Amino acid sequence: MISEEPVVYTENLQKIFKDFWRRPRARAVDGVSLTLHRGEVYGLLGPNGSGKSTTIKVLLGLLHADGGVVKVLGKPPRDVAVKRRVGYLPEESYLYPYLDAKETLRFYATLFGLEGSKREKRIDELLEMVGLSHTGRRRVGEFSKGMARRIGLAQALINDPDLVILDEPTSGLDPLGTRQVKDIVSALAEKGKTVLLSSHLLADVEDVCQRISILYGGKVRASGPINELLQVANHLQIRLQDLDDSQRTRLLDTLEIQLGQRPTLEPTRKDLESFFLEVVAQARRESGEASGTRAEGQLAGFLTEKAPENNEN
Amino acid sequence: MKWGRSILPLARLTCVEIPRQPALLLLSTTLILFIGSLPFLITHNLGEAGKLVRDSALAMMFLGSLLLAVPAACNAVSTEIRRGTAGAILSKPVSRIRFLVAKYIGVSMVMLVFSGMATMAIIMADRAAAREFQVGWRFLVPLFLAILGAYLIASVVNFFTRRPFSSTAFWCMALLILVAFIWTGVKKDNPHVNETAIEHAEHAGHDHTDPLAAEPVPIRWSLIPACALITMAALMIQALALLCALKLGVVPSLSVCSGFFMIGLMSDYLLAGKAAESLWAKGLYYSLPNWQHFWMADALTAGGTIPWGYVANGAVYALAWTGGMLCIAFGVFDRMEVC
Repeated sequence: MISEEPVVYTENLQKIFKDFWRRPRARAVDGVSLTLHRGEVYGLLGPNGSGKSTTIKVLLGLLHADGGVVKVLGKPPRDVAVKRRVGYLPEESYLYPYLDAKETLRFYATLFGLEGSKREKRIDELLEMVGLSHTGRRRVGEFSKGMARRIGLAQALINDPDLVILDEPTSGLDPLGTRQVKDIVSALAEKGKTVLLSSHLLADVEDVCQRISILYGGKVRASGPINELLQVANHLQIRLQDLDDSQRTRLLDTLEIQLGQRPTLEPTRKDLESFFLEVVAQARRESGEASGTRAEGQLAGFLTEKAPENNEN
Repeated sequence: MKWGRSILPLARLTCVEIPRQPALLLLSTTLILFIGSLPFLITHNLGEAGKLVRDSALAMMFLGSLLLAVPAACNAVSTEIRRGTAGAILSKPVSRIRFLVAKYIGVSMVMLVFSGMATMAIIMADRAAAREFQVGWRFLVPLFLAILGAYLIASVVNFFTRRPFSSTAFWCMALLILVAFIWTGVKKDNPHVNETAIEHAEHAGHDHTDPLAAEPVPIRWSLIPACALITMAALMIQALALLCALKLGVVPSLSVCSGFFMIGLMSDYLLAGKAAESLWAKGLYYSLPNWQHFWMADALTAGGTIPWGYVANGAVYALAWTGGMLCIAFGVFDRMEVC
């Protein structure tokens, strides 16, 4: 269910990178307008250098907008009170290499003022959620890229945020991890969180986003609900199950007579991700746990609790 | 209270992170070892060993503080900006001013620990070189054992618990040097050593009836204010390094800070005379850090003491200069874009 309260609002956003002499070097974002509502998963798509990450960094107050309007949760993005309600997973997992997973989450939790048993409970739940509860004292600098993304995702959710900004959340993850992250994103939206997801992995965006904007050269080239954008006009699909050869022939003959053209029949294909997940699930049942990480893509307990309207943490 | 909520964890993390870099451990160990080695490097070659050891040790501490403060500040700021961790933190409810204050406090805590270790090492080295032509091994052996012990403990801890070796060794070294310092402080002098001193003096053709040779070696407490002043100077360099680190890497920051270090040492010679005549020279003279205010080795040599009032004045000067540097750093960082 999507309410009309804008969580992120930008209008004609501009960002120009300048050289040492303050001369314009590159127009990274050029007139981007976005409106994100509560409970929505919004995708920012585009090739490398299209302005996705720059837009996100402006929304986080890390970069200054050179023009236009930017509001996050109704306030300017550099407002510290806004950041209390935002979770951010950067494009690269920027972590302190000498800390272990728990220390990393403990550090980020204390930045939000979380202390004591509440903090420890959240940390345990998040580590369980992202499948890293077994890493012990292993330093995050020794983590694989996929594990670093998982701990990055956990830190983004430590404050139970209203707005979650995920920059390439599935990059470096195996298909299983990708599926888990997508499940988590969907579950977050169901709990009323707003998710802004930036990616160039189209299948990921298609699976979880309700609306998207496609950026190229810093400009929005297409924007809208994903179902509308992907609809091909005048092309229809009929889906049927369990037809034998004679039924197929009769169906084609009938359609040819009625439509004046003989349609083609093709068996439905699974997508590769579903097939892969089936194979892995089967293998797991047969030989027990084999993956380096263990998680089922379910939300941490504290994220499923009903939050008060004016959420502090 | 709210300020502390985000500053303390960040400062604590900085304080935890910096000693985990092997470079800091190696540099601080080398400096402490060098200070501890001064008595036997100098005693048998030159006269006035006590003065030479004190001067060299204090100079080593001063220079070592510069060499430690700049990489530590750069690691806390420029490396974090480049690595992206600064951006990740600033996306949390942490204002930029708090970020910088926390970084400064975190680096300062590490620098204070190093200064503490260096101060104790200097006092032990000074006691070891108190008698001419004799090395007071009873003051140096505990120091070297403390360093060795710290490395051994860190190895064992690392082997069994996987705790980072560098930081464990650094903190153990600080603790064990403190233990060594207290132990050498409370332990009575061994008379056999004094007999050895007399034998050495005889070999060297000196009067073996030197009454000092039989006296216990007192702790020269006046070294503490001298070291405190050097620590303040180190904290000033660190503020400058933090400002440099916002825009520059380790090597350019070290170059700038070394430049300031040299000019600050010579500012009396270069600018004091001109300051009375020209306004710009006066401005430059007062805005440059004058390290001579913090270098008290000569005062110690003359047998004088350093009044704590002078140390307090030095603290005010250091605080004002550090505050100025940090204000400039806040101004720069507030407008800065963090990618």
